[in-house]
Amino acid sequence: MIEQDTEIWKTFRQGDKIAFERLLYRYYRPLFDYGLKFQKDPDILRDDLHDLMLSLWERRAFLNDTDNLKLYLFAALRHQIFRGKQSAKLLIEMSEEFDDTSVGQAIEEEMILAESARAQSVQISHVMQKLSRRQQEVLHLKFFEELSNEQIAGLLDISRPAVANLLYSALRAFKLCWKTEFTLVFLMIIMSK
Amino acid sequence: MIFEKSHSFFIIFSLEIHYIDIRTKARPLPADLRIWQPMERYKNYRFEDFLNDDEFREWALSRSADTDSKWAEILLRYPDKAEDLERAAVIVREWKKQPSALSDAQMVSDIGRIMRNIEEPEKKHIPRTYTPFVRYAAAVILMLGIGWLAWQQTRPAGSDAPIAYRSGESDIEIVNDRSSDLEKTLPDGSVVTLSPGSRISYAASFTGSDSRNVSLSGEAFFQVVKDSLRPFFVYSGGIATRVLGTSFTVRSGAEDVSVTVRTGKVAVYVLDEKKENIVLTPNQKAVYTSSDKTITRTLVEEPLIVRRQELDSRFHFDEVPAATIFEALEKAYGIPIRFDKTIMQHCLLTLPFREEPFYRKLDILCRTIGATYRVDGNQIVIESNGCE
Repeated sequence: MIEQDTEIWKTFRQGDKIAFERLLYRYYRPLFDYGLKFQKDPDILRDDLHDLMLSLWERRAFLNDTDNLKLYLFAALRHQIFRGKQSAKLLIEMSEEFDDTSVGQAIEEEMILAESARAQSVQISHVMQKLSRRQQEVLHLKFFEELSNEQIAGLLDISRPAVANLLYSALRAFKLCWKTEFTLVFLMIIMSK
Repeated sequence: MIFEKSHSFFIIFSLEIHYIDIRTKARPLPADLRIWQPMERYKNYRFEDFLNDDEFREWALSRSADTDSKWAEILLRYPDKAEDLERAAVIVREWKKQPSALSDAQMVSDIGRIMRNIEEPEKKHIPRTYTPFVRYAAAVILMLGIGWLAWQQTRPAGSDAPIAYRSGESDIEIVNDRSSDLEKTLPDGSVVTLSPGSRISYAASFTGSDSRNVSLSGEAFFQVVKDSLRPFFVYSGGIATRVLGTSFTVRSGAEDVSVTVRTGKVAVYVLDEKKENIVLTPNQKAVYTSSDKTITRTLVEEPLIVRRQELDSRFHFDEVPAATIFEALEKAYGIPIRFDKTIMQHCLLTLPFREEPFYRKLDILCRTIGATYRVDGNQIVIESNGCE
């Protein structure tokens, strides 16, 4: 683990508020961007993150050592969101279907405004919105967070071959959407000429 | 368990098929099982196979034009794979550049809320609810103290408007006569938190006009809903403050009004004067003196860090030139710092800055190298005779 993380985690657990704030500035954004892959409503996600952080602070003296703080927090966020929703199993069932993309639309529109609409990275976000939550989650962990299959398996509590399969099917779905997307753009260019 | 079994069976099955090279309908192998297969396997690699290959991703990310790599060899050997390979490499690199869905202002405000709530565990938590479906593109802290009470007593009869904006009888007024803050939602979804003894008013047709206008006396905290077609103005004490984005603070004494920017930008206009507006950036303050209607720009009393990253990574200084530290401070606080680089070139120092206030940091720094500083307008000027 990064040295700073070890230090932050240690002093945080001793009750140091500055360390806690540093932890927040380091990981709030990655947690938010990750959480958005399965909690589509950013306001609810914000509340979940708020509650998670307060409970971490309250339980700080009882928290264990960790060799990967980010992974630890990711797992804690998953737990926070799916607590009271029976279990993550529910997610697997829900996410096999394609999502209603309307919720993600607003965020995505803002992103397109923020960046050039032609940027490939925006295209990726766009295509991601069309995939199931489960697919988005696994692709985000692999390509954005660059976690290993083993780390993903631990986080999602599934076997390694299951991660590999999930990744593969997610990539195929991604490719399919990417192609449609490009064909559309291509057609539009031709017609506009 | 049954699932696991049928799964491993499936893998073996597709492996055999792969060797007789009719993979068309067979489900491909997970990437980690393919490692010991011969080079020819790439002949059938597709877009998603490249993406799913750890080695490939590593190569694409490093991209040191590594022509010895087997991926470069694949390009030569199977030219028809070039398109898929190139596209996959682009995806791998671009993936990391996806913009975050969280704005800086929102992050600062969220973290602030968490920190406030852990600091006062005995008190009831600040309500954590965000009005559903309302997304604040700008979290605006607007504290306007125009010495409301003093003004009440001294104003000439008949002149009841320090405010240029008036809309007649249909104004809606919110007065906080309690001893604690009062939170209200405006018709556009923006939320205003009024300090005790403060009041705001707005037209009944608030959401129906070209701009959203609020008059304020006293102190208030605004969270403004973004609407680029209808700008948000706060009128008070002879000036108007226009929200350009993110957060700022406005505060004033009995004689003057001041506007302070926390993050983002605001524009301040003097009403009934044809002066240009001034745009304020973080940690800047505009002071408006009502007697001579002048606006001056200066720094806030307590500058706050506007770029957190800067502080996290670089505020531990070990035997570095003073210039480096001044530059880091300048970036982190967005405040220009002027100093003579040549005179100070021998000033090396070790400083572990933590969360000290800005001027405390400057104090420590200057004392260590025997320099002094002064505030000149919206910048800091360092005076030093150098270090020998």
